[in-house]
Amino acid sequence: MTVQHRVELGTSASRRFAMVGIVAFVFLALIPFFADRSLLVSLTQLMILIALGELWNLLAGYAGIYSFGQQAYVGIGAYATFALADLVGLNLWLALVLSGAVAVLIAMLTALLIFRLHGGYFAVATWVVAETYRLIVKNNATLFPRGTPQPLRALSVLGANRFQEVYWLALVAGVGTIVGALILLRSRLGLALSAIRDDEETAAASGVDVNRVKLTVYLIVAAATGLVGGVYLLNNVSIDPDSYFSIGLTAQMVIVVVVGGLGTIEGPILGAIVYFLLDENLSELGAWWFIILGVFLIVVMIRAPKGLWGLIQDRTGLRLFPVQRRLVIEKPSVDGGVS
Amino acid sequence: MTDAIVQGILLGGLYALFAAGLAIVFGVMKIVNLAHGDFIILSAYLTLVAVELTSLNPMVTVALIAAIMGIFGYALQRGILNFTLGSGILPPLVVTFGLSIIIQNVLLEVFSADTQGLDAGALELSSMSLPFGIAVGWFPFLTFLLAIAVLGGLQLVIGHTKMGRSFRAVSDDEETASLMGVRTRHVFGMAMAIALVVTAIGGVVLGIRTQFDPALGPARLIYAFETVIIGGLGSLWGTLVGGVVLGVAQNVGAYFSPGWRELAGHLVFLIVLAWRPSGLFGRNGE
Repeated sequence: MTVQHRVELGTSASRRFAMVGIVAFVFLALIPFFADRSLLVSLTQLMILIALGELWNLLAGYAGIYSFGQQAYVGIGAYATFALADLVGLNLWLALVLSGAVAVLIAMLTALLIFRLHGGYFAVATWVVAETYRLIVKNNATLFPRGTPQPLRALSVLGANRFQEVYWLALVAGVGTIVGALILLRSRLGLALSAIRDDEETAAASGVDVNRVKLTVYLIVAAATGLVGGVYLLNNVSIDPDSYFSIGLTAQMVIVVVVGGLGTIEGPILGAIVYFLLDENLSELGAWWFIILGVFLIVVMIRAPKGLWGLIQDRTGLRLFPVQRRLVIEKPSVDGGVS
Repeated sequence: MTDAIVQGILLGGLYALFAAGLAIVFGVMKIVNLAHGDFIILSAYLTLVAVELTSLNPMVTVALIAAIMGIFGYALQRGILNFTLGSGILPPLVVTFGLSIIIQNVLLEVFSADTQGLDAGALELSSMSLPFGIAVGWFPFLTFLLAIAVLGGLQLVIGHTKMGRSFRAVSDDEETASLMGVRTRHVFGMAMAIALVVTAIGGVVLGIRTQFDPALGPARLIYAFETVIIGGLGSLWGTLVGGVVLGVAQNVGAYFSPGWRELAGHLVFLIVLAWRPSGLFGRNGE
């Protein structure tokens, strides 16, 4: 009599949620047909927030890479889109796709330098590099002529339905990062990532090439963040280095991930929705809104380090995305025993 | 050009004052305090309030501001930051990042976004003449001497006092130090207190030298960080060298174009990182 076992990724909740997810996606895709322009712009912003959160979560929640310079890739993606479309004259969509490639090239160069530092100092070094890129753009008369924000003229090809198209694009970015993260985490690389998340030293001792895995994830996230940066530009229309290379963008990623729940796919989605709703209602408080946000961030980090989704998960055991590998032991039924 | 270099060297003293606190906190607690720059700016604003209340010269209020920031640092470490230790690098980063957001916006709410300055009277404006037509301001010169005095004082405290011995013990091996009877939580509090005393001195000097507003903190954090890395991790006197290198780089950059001041500093930092990742005076790569 042998005890059979298998490794399962899905849960019954995750299988049911897959159906809910598909229905939700169809619903979200239909929204432009009945929503007004301001709602669409807001929802586009939410989708971008979800995408940026999911990407920062891959770094901080899984790979143990604490980058406070991810605004660099939003800025690089946006500026690459702007330069290739408006200055070189490429087709807007081609420019957008190429912006991901530009981001990954610059990320390779950046990685050579910053991966020499570790831990907290790595975090500040990423920030310095982002500042360096901001200042290079700011001092460049072609990219930032006369020190004024530049409109993306190539946007005119989209015509009157621009907001709908940009929303769909952002939806693809938001859902794409979720599905992409799901595929990545279920892959062999994902297994290595989960091992690194749980214990870096043990992962290395078990044969995981930690540095290589980290570099791979850093480059993938840079490429995707660059693409999201391009979409961000399409939604905001005009571009300037101070807003596209702002530490505020990384602040949003950190808040979305930490408040939502670090190291889960569900967390950043929840975090982005919470941030979005609070921002819609409290941003008129001005400085006080940021003070509240800062206090909220500190309280969550200390009192509930697994975030809001962690609190929900601890109470209910709910897992919506099938990424966690669980061992299922099946009792053999040859002797007719009821298991 | 020579003038830019001389002024840059003296600016290095201020950057060493910015950097020493960051280096102490990292050395003892292994925390990178992302609110460090905001503590510098907060100190400048506290001086502004002290000067308005007492109409003393800002240099006279330095002891008071340093004492307030020291007590604040101890309370902050015991009350909040100690709870972020022990579960990886991210919690202290996120919590100090949150503190940075809070301090900037409280300053914005209380003092508005207007630029402010501190008036140190004649000291601020008087200068001495050196050969080759270089004029050196007394205040930048005294700042440099102050930085040397502060670093010397820190070396005495860390190398020759009981508290300094605890710092070094906790820095080398927290667990063993704790087993040997070192009260690590208190030691962490003291380290943050001393770090913020030095930071406060830097803040007062900054307030006298230049105009300031609530948003200047993050850039000061970056200067302090660059100073630490250029000088070399774990080297107190290295921060003075790091500060001088950064100050000269920025001033030479600004000599060619005002927009290149910060950029030149960042580029020199990146070159040092590529060429000597452990810094000019670092013990080994971290």
